[in-house]
Amino acid sequence: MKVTLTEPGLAGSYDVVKEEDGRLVLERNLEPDWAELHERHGTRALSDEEFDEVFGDLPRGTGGG
Amino acid sequence: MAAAGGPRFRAAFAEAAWREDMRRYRSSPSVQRMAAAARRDAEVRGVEPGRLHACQADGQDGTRLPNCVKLYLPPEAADPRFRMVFAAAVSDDAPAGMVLAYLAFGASHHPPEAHAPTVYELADVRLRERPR
Repeated sequence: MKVTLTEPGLAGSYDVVKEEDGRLVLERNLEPDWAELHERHGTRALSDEEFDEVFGDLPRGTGGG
Repeated sequence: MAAAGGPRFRAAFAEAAWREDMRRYRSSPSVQRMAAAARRDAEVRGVEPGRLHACQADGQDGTRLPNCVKLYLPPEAADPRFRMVFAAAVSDDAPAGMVLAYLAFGASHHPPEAHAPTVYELADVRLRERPR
């Protein structure tokens, strides 16, 4: 479960996590979106053609994924 | 082409997704150690192209993982049970022009009674959660 806090100083997205002792704690969700990941690493999304060009020879798994 | 023996791909790990996946295996420290070792190897040395498999853009289980690749773990196992799934992204300044962004780690399948998501289901959700 994800929650969003708006309190000054706490504002942001958090994950609700259940600890082993049963307590619920909030953990800051540090998950960047793709735009941030791309900016951070200087990347961009692949096109399907680019993926096939680079990875087209890879074996593919059966079943899911 | 991603040929065996070619330059290794740089890997990037998002901490929130990683923490969530490691929590899922908190009662299996050996699995956590195996995953952590794979992550360390990927981050320090890069991912060897010859170890990668392509994910199915439209999987038989209903998951959609276009332009994604995966590692089979543990690598020395005859029938590796676990997968580490990445989304591939182009990078002009990375080795081989590619960065692999971590999506999920977990078992490729569970017994039906487990009611637990597979690594593909987790990766599918995370891929769709973030606009690319």
